[in-house]
Amino acid sequence: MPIIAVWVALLVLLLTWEFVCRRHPSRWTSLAGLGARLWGSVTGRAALLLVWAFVGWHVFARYTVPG
Amino acid sequence: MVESSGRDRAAIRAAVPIGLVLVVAYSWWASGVAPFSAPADVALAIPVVLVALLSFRQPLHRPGADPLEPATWRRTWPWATLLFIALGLEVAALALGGRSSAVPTLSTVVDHALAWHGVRFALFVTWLAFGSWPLVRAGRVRWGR
Repeated sequence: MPIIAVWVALLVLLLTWEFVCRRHPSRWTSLAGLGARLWGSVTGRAALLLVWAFVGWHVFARYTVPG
Repeated sequence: MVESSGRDRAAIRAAVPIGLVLVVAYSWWASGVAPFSAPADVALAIPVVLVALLSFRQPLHRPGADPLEPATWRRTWPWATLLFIALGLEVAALALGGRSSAVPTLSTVVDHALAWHGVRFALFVTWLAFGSWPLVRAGRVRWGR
């Protein structure tokens, strides 16, 4: 159970940090900015699409509800 | 030319609500399909193939786009730290068998929430939104919305 709290804390931290980066674009690069940079090359675009497809497949086509 | 582009814009504006209804209906169906089945793989493959085809038709750089922020280590180290912590947790959880209740993997945590169709539907819509966001953004720039 405490580890679930760590995962939730990491998610909250990620969202908060993205917000901070967008408020201070001259100092920090946001996740959206990193994504846009990757989107600007063929390999980066393919990598983003592969990660997105894998996440979808893993979560929605290969999930097991714990009994 | 101007008249035609105005007509195109109006047609796209009219198509948006229909598209949204289709996305919602598709997401509800796709998130209700049993996992580890051929329909589940097909339900995932359809949007992946569509988004991939449309993505590679987009130009790599939009003319007139704002210059991208530099991505130096100094500006991105917090992201690397978060990724390092998440990977460390995931590796530790996998080393403990992946389904440990004390140290579960991220997917085991998510699996608990996937018992409800409503949650799967919401997550599926979110996943679709992430994948199609660059296309939506490109469309908004192109059609000036």
